[in-house]
Formats: sequence, C-alpha cells, structure tokens
Amino acid sequence: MAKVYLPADLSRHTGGVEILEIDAPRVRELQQALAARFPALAGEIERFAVAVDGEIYSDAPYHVLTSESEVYFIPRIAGG
Amino acid sequence: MTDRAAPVIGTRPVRHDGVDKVTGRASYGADLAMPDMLHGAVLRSPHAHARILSIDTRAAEAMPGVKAVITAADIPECFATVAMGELPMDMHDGSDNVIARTKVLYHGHVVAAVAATTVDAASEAARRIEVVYDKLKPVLGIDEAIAPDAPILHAGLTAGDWAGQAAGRPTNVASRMELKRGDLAQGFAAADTIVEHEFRTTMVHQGYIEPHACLARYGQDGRVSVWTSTQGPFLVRDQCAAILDIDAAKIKVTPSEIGGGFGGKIVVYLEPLAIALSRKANRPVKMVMSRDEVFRASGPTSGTVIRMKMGATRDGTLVAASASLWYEAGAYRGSPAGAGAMCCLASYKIPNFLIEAYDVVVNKPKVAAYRAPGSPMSTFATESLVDELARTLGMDPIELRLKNAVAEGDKAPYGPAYGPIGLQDVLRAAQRHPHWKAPLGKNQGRGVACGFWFNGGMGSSASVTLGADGSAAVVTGNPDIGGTRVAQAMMVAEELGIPVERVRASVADTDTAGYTDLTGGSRVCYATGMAVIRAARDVRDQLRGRAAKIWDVPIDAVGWDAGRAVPPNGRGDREALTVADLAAQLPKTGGPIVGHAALYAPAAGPGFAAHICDLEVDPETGGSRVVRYTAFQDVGRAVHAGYVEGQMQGGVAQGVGWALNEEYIYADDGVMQNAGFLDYRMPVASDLPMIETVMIEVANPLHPYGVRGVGEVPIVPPLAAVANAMRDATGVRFTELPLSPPRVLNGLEKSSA
Repeated sequence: MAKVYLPADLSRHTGGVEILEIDAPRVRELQQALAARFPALAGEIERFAVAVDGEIYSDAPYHVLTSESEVYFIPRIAGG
Repeated sequence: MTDRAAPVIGTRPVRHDGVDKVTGRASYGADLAMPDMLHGAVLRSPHAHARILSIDTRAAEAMPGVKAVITAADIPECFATVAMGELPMDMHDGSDNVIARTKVLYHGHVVAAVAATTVDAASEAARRIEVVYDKLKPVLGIDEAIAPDAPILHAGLTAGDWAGQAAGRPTNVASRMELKRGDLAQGFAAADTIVEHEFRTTMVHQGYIEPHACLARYGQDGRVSVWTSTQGPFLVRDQCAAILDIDAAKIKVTPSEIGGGFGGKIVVYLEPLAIALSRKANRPVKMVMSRDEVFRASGPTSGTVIRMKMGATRDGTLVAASASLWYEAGAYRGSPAGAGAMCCLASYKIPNFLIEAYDVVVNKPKVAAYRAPGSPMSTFATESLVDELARTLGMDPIELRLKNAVAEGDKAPYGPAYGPIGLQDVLRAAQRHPHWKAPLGKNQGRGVACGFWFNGGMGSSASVTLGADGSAAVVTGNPDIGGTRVAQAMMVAEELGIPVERVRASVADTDTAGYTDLTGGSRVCYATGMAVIRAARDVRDQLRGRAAKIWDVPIDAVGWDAGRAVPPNGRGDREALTVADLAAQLPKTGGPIVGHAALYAPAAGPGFAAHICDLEVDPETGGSRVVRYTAFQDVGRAVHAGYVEGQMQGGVAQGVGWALNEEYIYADDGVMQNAGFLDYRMPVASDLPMIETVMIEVANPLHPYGVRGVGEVPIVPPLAAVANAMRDATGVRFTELPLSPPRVLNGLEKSSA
C-alpha cells in the first residue's frame, strides 16, 4: 500500500484526513481511488504535482508505485 | 590541437558563442530582416482600467504605407489551455493580455496593432486609431484590491471559501493556498521569543538588456515562420497556435540569440500580433518593443505584502512560524504566491507552521516569472526575522541558522524529504570564510541570509552527430541564456574523449530540434544536459560497435577508455582506435553515426545558498553601496565553473538592485512614472564590487555528473542579506523595499527622533 500525504488545500476536501494508505499500481489509479473515496477531490487532485519517493513530477499519471512508495501531492510551481 | 586526456567537466574553456557576441555578429530578435518586410506598431491603452466602447480604425487604414490594422476582432476568443511545462496556462487570459477584447486592465495594454512600410508610418497610424473608453477607477496595490469597496477587475472572478471573503462574491483575490504542519498555538506557546513584522516589496522588472522582438511571416500556404527572442520556441509555437487557432504543425519558430530572459520571455506578447498582421498584409512583419513598452507592458514580478511571525526557544531552536503572503498578479490571475509559500521556510526545520498565500489581481501588467519566482520576497521576510531572533537571543546569525538548517532526510515544508542537499555545508563555508570575521569600517554593517529554490526537470531531447573528421555536433532546442551551449559541448567532449574545441553546440528551431521544454527553471544544464550525455553515450556505444566490426569481436569485448575503443584483453596485435580513427571509417563500417536521447527528468534536486553582504551607508543622504559581497552556493557539480560563477554573480546583482533601488513608481492614475533605465535604477558595473563566489558541490544523485540547477537560487538571499546589513549599519530594521536613499533617510530620521 502506497502511503499518501495530502496538503492542506486537498485535505480540506477529505474532512481533514492528511495521511492515508492506498493500494494502486500507478499514480493514475491512486488519483482515481482518492476521488472515489472523497468525491470533492475529483478535478482537484489532477492539478497538483506529485512527489514519488522524493522525485517530483508536474504530471506523471503512469508513474509506477510499489507497496513501499511514499507519495506527496504538492502545488505546481514554475521557474523563471 | 591537443589530444584530449584530462577531464573536461569543471574546467573553463573559452565560450563557443563569445566571439560572435563581443563582435556584434550574434543575431538577436531585432536583427533579422526579410524582403518585403513591414514594421508593426502597437496602440496601447492610456488608461489603467477602462471598458472599451468602440474602436474605429478607418483613419489608420487610410494612411500611406499602412498595409494592415488589427484589433481583437481579428482574433478568435480563445478558451484553450497550453501546457507550459511546469504549469498549464489558461490562454483565455493569455490571449486577452496580447490584445484586449472588452476591457483594458493596465496602462499600456494592447488595443490594436498596425503593419506599415516604416516604423514611423506604423506608429503614426496607430495614433490615428480612435478608441472610446469608459474609464474606471484603477486598483493599484494589495490594500486597494482587497478593500470592501474595491473596483473589481474581472466580473467572473468570485471568492472561494476563504476567511474574510464571502464565498461567491466578486473579488480581486483570485486564489488562496495554504501549507501547514503541527500545532501553531502550541508552537508559539513554547517559544521564549517571538518576532513579527509586516514586509512590503514593490513590482520590479527582470531588466533583460534585449527588449522583446520578433519577425513573423504568414505564407500563402498557411505555413507560419517566426523568428523571435524567447526562452521557449516550442511554447511560442503552442501559444500562438492556441491564440490564433492555427494548427501548431504549421508554425515553425526559430529562436534568436537571446539577450536575457530570467523568466520574462516565456509568455508571448508580440508574436501573435506579428503573425496576425502578416496574415492580413500578406507580407512579413517585424515588431520590436521599446524599453518603455517593456516596462509598461511585458511581465514584471509581483509587489507583495507579507506578514510573518516566528518563535524560538532561548537556545535558538525555531518552534513556530506563521505567514500571510499577498502577491500582486497584475491584470490576470497567476502570481507566484504559492511558490513563495513553499520556499519561505524551506531552509529550516520548523515543527509548527501555517502559511497562507493569496493571489491578487491589480491594474498593472500581468506578472511573469522572474528568477526563482516568488521566493525572493517571502525569503526577505523569513531571513529578516531570523536575523531579529539572532539579535534578541544574542546568537551568531550563522550559528542560529546552522542549528535549524535542514539536511538530507528532513521534510520540506511542502512535504517530501530532501535528498542530499548542501545547506549546512554552505553555512559552514560562510562561517569559516575570512569575510565573516573581517573588520568593518565606519557606517558599515554586515548581513547574512540563506535562500532556496526547487529547480525544475521536465522534458528534453538531444542529438549528437559525429563528423568524418572525428569532431561532433550537439543539437538541442533550448535557447542559451546561461552558457548551456558550451556546457553541452563539454559534456560531449567528456563522454567521447575529444577536445571541447572539436564539439559544436547549436540551438535548433521547432522543426529540426526534438521537443524540449523551455529554457528556464534552472533545468537546461541538468535535464537537457542529461539528454546530451545519453546521446553522447549512444554515439560512444555505436563507436564500440564499429570497432567490434573492424576487429571481428563481440561488442561486449570492446572497452572504452578516454576517447579510445580498447581491444579485448590479450589481443596485443590490435591497436586501440581513437574516435578520429573510427570516424574516418564510418562509410565502411555501417554509415553515419547519430546519437539520440529524449527523456523526462524529475525536478532537479533543490539548491541552497547563503550570502554575506557588507553595506556602507551615508547617514546624511541615505545612500548606500555594497562594499563586499560573498555568495556561497551548493551547485551540485559545476560543469563550466566560470559560467556557474556567472550565474551566482548575476543573481546577486539583480537581488541587490531589487533590495536597494528598483521599484515601479505609479501615479494615482495607474501610469508608471519611471519606465526607463535612468529612473528605474538597476545596478551597473560601477555600483558593485567584485562579487566573490564559493561553490560547494553536493552531488545531485538524479544526474550522472551530480549537476544541480544553479541559475535561480542566487537571487533569493540578497534582499535580506542587504536589509540585514542595513540593520547592522544603522540600527534600524527596514521592512519595506527598496532601501532607496529617501526611504533610508526617512527611517534614520524617525529612529533618531
């Protein structure tokens, strides 16, 4: 089960739940599982970047997860 | 020509583009001409906020030499989104910023454009366009924008469920984001010392020396060519395609040499206008911004209001922090408030914090990225408060920072743990450096500050071609704003074992380069460099295959050592083959060799810096000058050491200007009063001492050489380093920038009263 950490701007849609475990093969399925559990996340969670085991990607729905993966959703930012 | 044996990475070869640049041969955005070319000029709004009631272009169209006039009516309303690499961009706003449709939202906002046979004819014709406006009251700052009776810029922008804003009500606050950890009340309750201030910074400009310029040709077959000064040729293509509703496959963008970008040449301003004019006139159209236009109508960065509070125990442990960040977005939503929130506490382990960040629209030009967007302003607040805490607790300011500095395994404020990072190494280097203990003179003060930036990754392609003479060429689609061509040549030289003078590095157009994300976000040496290294290794492996063919052995039996294919053990009858030897036999061994790579890199591995600034202040005039400055930075691995130092020095120079003199000065009608370099005062060479640089290398494990992005971090510490030096020199804590002479004098007089 991947361990998932949600920032404040997403946990406001989960009744304050910030850390949870989800069984999903890839980031896409993880996002879908979160949206299924917390419908208010649908449409929101895809707008966030994701850090999987410390590597940060703006948009990586097909990134493979393992049972030990740590996944953080973080706001997207841009450089200059 | 020397035989390449020594490592190349870390050395300082003469830059490949140097001779062209110093002799004036390099071709920038305004340097191209085409037969039959027209010149474009723009009509800009004289008002900061107004509805457009009517536009009459007939008088302009009738003028001699005028071949086309366009308004927003010539461009379809755009509802597309363009993936701008790290963030998607709403092109409805982007398109409206290029040319206003129903409202003008800042002084200088484009209302119409003209193409004519000369620049003067086009400008004169633009002045003849008659526009009827319904003037509205402009909103020129955060306080005005959030006042209960504030004029509203966008009727469709309504408040979310935020404290202090009635949800669903029209607002100028476009968004709010929040980061938190732990229990704030408990954290502050445990603090022995708490400091709190409100900090203010103004809108400032990147100040690139080359204004925006482009040349566009819309062919009768519907194919479009654009020559332009840009950080992202593929982004120009995609933005223009979206705005003009043209198939992107029909647009070719050739990036010119670029005279600075710093984030300000990512969004398009002139290109869609030039293409639309060319389409209407059936001739190429060239457009060049004046400096005045660059200031008024390109993309400066946000002015900010930041309220921040920090608490520490008496041994100097930071226990709590809270911050409210308000960033100007300019005329359309999208400031770097979120990044500011994510960066401001990134250097420290703080168990309890709450940061909220607000994006606020105002009647000023839409802000664009500026080198570590969002981080310098919020870090100014943090590092000023850390300085205050050090003074209150009687602690050495570097020692206090070291006590709380993050290291590998600590969690970033935005969540994940840091990998190998160099903040503690950087602080120790600063502490040990002679600058830290050097005596100060009269009216001089010393300040220190840290800074952080994420550094980007994203997608890049590269190809490396081998010549029959054993030389190589590397091609990417990334405009060179930081010396990346020579860095790429060095990588190929390193991998192939050939002299760096025998490698040519080029930037290609969008039809000939593999797709690459923009030049920006400190990503090119890291991510595109990674692709270059892979492409060069592809060439190397193909060369091993050719040697295997010559020797009639399996490829696995062929070694590679410093530019030579090495025969298998025990085959003393075979000489090693150099790259030149193998290249000479390419036709016989299988034909040309081209190496390719395309990849998507994760975000690069964050960068940390610490700066020490000595400032001398004239108490009679309030004037000040930097008398010594040392910048310490974790650079991962410096490919071209001179270029990395240049990035550090350049960031410092911009940060010092931001701290001491630069500001957008607006009159009450929303017209900028100082839209030129005489009165918008950036540092020039005589304003600054030699900026010393100390590079610390903590290898980034994500990159084969350990490269970390370096270009953006160095602009982050200077605002607070300078302000802390001012505090040390004068005894006065200034919380508003810039520290221009009138402000300093006023502060000194109030303090002594």
